[in-house]
Amino acid sequence: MNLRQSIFQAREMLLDYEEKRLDQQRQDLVQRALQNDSETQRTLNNIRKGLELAQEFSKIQIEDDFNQYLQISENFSSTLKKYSHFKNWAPNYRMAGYIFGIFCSIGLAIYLVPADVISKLKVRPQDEIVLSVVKNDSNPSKLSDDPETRDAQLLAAQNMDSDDENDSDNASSEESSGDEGIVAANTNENQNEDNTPNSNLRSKTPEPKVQAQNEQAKAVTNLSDKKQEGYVYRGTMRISDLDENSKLITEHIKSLGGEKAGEVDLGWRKDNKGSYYHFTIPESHFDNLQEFLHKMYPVKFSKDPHPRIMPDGQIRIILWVERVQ
Amino acid sequence: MGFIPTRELSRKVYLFFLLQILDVELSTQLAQIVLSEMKSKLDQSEDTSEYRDDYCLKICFETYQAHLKKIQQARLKNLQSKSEQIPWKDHLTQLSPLQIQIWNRFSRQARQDEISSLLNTKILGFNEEDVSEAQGISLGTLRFRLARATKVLGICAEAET
Repeated sequence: MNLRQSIFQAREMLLDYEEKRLDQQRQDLVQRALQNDSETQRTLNNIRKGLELAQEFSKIQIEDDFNQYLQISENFSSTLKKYSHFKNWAPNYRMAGYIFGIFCSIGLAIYLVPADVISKLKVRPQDEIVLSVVKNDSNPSKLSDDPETRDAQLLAAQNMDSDDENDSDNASSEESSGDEGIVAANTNENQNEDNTPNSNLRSKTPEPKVQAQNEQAKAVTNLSDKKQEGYVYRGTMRISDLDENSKLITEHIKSLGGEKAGEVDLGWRKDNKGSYYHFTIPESHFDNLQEFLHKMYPVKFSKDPHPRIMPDGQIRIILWVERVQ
Repeated sequence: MGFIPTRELSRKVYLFFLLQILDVELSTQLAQIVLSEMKSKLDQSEDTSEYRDDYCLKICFETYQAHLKKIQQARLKNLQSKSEQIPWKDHLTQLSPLQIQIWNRFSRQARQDEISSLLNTKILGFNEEDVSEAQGISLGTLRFRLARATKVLGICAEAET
């Protein structure tokens, strides 16, 4: 170990040397450094002065009055000063303070915010919505996922805008000749037997319609006047050999330029009880179609008003071909 | 009856804050907080001889840390004042003006942890092991800081004389 290292180490041990805490070996090291280095000696002198001064400071006493003041008033003033700081509160009280502060803030906000601002945040009354909902026949939320069933539901919904009396009459007359019967009514009949959603549709739809008509009579009248411009042909047939004749009817309709007007294809089978045709055809071919169908059954078509408007030269036909046992 | 702090204990606690903060009002307040806390906690134990120096030191250091921001502001304000305007000059009449000046100089030149080490061991007379445990440092670190503080105090004393 060289002299510089020993002096450096000795300076670090001066306090221990002064307090006589060193072993003999280290003590000799410090003494050698003190002999050889004046800076080390000066540091030792400073340490000695510091210790003397610290000794004088240790004799400081406080007055009795002040001491009593510290002891007597500690329970009240110190507690008061201590808990004047929110951070010094107990955790439970601090949490209660936070909650109280939040409620006060909310109450203050409600008190200060003008009432008209709050009223603007309210939802508008539903009378404006009811009108559009009622008049929307093809509400997707009510339709079945099955395309075949969906078209029948659409048909049922459309028929609800037509004469309700016809629907109720046809629902009761199952065995009538059916020439003047409306297809949709029979369709609804069959659907009511088997298809619960359609029956629900029938049961539910009239109510909001009635409400809307009572509440918004003028508006409904205006709207319905506009929707009365369109029309649909409805007819019913009863034949025995359904399978063969359905194919013939389908082919003939297509040959005359007919195309399906709804979701289901031409000749959609409803539980093997009949075939359903919902199609558009050029108006000029309507007579040809009637002649063809008359060979199978003396069908008569009724022209009913409907909101759906077809392009000029095109007509829309709903034909129900029922199987006769 | 409960725990009653002795005069010696009150003195130590008060000087612990006064000689570090150099502010009479704040030191009084913090000393009262420490003594009340000690009283409340020791009253829960039936035997008052449970009091120990390390317990007192622990509460002192915790209180110091809890009010650190306020302490630093007060300390800074008092250190910047001139020697004739030392706020606590008249409070400790046993100290001469020179000694007070030396301590003021020492408070400006030494680090806070060194001042604390010197104060707790050499002035207040606490055990070094208790001080190191309360501060959360090793004994060697405490001795190192003590040595530096003692040297600086000696240098300040030489400068003022």
